[in-house]
Amino acid sequence: MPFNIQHSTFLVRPELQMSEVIIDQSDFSEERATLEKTWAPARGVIGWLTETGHKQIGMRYIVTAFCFFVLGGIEAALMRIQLAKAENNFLNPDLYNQIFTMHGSTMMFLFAVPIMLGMGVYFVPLMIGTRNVAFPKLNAYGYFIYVAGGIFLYVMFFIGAGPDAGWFSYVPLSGPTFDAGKRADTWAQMITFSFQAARAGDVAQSHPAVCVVDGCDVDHGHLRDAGGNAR
Amino acid sequence: MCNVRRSPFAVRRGGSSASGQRPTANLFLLAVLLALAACHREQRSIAPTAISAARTFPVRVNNPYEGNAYAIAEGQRLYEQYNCSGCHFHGGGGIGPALMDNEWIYGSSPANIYTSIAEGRPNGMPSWGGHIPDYQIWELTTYVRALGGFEGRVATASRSDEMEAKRAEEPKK
Amino acid sequence: MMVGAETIQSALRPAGPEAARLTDLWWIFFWTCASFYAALMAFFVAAWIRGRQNVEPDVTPATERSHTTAVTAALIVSAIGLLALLVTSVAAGRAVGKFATNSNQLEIEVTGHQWWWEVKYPNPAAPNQQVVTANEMHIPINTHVLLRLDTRDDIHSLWIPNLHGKRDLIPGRVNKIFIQADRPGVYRGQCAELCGLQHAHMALVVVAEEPEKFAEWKKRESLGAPTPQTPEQVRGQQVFLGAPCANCHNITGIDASATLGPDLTHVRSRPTLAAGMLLNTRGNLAGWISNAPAIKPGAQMPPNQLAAGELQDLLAYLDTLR
Repeated sequence: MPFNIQHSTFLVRPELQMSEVIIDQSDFSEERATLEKTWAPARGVIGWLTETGHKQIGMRYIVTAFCFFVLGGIEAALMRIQLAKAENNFLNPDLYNQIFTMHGSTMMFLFAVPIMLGMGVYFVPLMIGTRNVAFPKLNAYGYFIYVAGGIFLYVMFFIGAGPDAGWFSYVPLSGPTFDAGKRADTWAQMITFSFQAARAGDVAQSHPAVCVVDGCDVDHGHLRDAGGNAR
Repeated sequence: MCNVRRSPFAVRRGGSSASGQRPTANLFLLAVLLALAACHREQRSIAPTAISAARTFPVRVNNPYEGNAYAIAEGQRLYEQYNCSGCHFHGGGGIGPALMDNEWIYGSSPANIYTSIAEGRPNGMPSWGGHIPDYQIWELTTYVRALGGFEGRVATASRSDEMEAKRAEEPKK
Repeated sequence: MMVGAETIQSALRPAGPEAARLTDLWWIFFWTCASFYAALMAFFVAAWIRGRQNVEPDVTPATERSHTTAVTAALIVSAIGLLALLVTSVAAGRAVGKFATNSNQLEIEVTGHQWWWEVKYPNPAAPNQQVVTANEMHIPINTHVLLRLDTRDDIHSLWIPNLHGKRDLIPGRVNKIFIQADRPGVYRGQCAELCGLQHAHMALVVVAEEPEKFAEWKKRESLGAPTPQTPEQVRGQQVFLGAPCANCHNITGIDASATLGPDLTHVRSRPTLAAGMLLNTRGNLAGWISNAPAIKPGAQMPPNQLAAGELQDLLAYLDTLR
């Protein structure tokens, strides 16, 4: 059954008003139900994994970022305990440098950047009045790649291969001459994940914003009257 | 940090893993084994004991630092600092024999290389035993073994400051 | 580690013209930011109190206009404040740079190592008279000193807060910094760039003293090591040459000329051991020789197993190196 456009009576092109758009029913509850089912959040584990709603993804970004914020805070507390008195032996220098680097990397790349991304993913579609970001699946992918990067970093840290050359991997300290093993590689891998997530999120949400300027039409990010139909 | 290293659990699972009927358990075992390998690889002895500096007789056959990334890096540092590169260059050889090829005049096992460094060899190789601590000789041994391609790639630096003749000649797998 | 009377490492107790200029700048920034912060908080509290009193805000064109005026005024004041800070900051930077155009009267080469400082007073006229020391720097007061900064391994950063700001030591290039001390004192410096395991224990001591005392120190330091006198000292020298020591350390005057570790020609004249970590006492030195990595994990000085008699002989010999 073809849908008729709800807003047809408000169309500004008067020549179309009566001749081409015919409203042949008064009850839209069926259509509304279909639409709500289409746009409803998916259920179950598969549903959780395939969820692409911008509010859900945005909220996941924010919650996950706060989890990493807590981890980074614990690391900061460990460092402060070590520094609380001179010549303390709470952390050995090797562990201290790892925790120092984990703290900086966590706070910057797993908290500060993703939380901004999460806010953007959550709010930008609401602000410009779209149902979702332009590329919802890319957006969801970005979130999962971010989580993967964070988990990877912490797993490596717990098996003794946490990065130890500072939050931006200071050279030449992170080079082959001074940093043995895979620690610098751990950091590089985490940053690849993190930036890939940021890039995916940026592309996913920036596209409709560009479309506002261009007046173009994107499949999922179909532009509506501002604010009206955003979920 | 790496208390899992001697986990009896890993040993038990190791016996039954060949059955292949429990993919989850096998995957878990794989993860544990990878973690164990990483544990040893990433271990750093930043405070070597005085005992590790003393020489042992007879020379131990097994290399305590086999597959340890930090020992390889420390060996590389010492290799430059003690001027091994003055004769052997960066493994390519010159005044002294090459350390990257397959020719080992006095053997390529860790104990052979240790003995070459500690006792010296005729025609110019000085004896370092007693002049440098024992653990440093083992670190040098591990680095020389890495130059020769005997150390797993997992432990060696993935990128080197020097030319890597051996690596380039290896067939791509 | 406190050495001497004035070793408090503080950027707010300047001992030289450069540091004084930077301290002034610091206080200008502090008071500007503090007053802006106080004003902002005062407005915030005022707005909060007014908001509680006045439940229904009356929005008329007149109040709208006055609000716009207030916001514009605040914006202009903030912009002026920021601009003023920018101008003072650039001016201070240029002024500190200007000190460099004065002719320097003394050149010192500072080389960073993992994890200690090598300090060299080159003497082009008589190269064998050059002074090499470690983790201490003597400078004459009221003299312009040029420090040439280089590093043997990693990036380090020299920071002597009482005398100047930070300057990085970059592999492959020589950085310069000019310092001057106005009054005698002992000032602590510290590495300020993460450089590995013992970055935290990479300090040096700057001793600023009267030019006469400095000349005396430099003359004494330029001499080689004295010949050992007692049998104990002679045996100690043999221990030094036979044990691993001579592999890494230099002692001018005997057959030990390695440059991996600090120069030991006048080791017992220095205020500290292990880059500012330990006071230079005989006991600390014995501990350091026996097992340096136990004191400073990661340190490149290995543990040394010496027989008790050998260690005492070695200490007796090292005691002569003043």
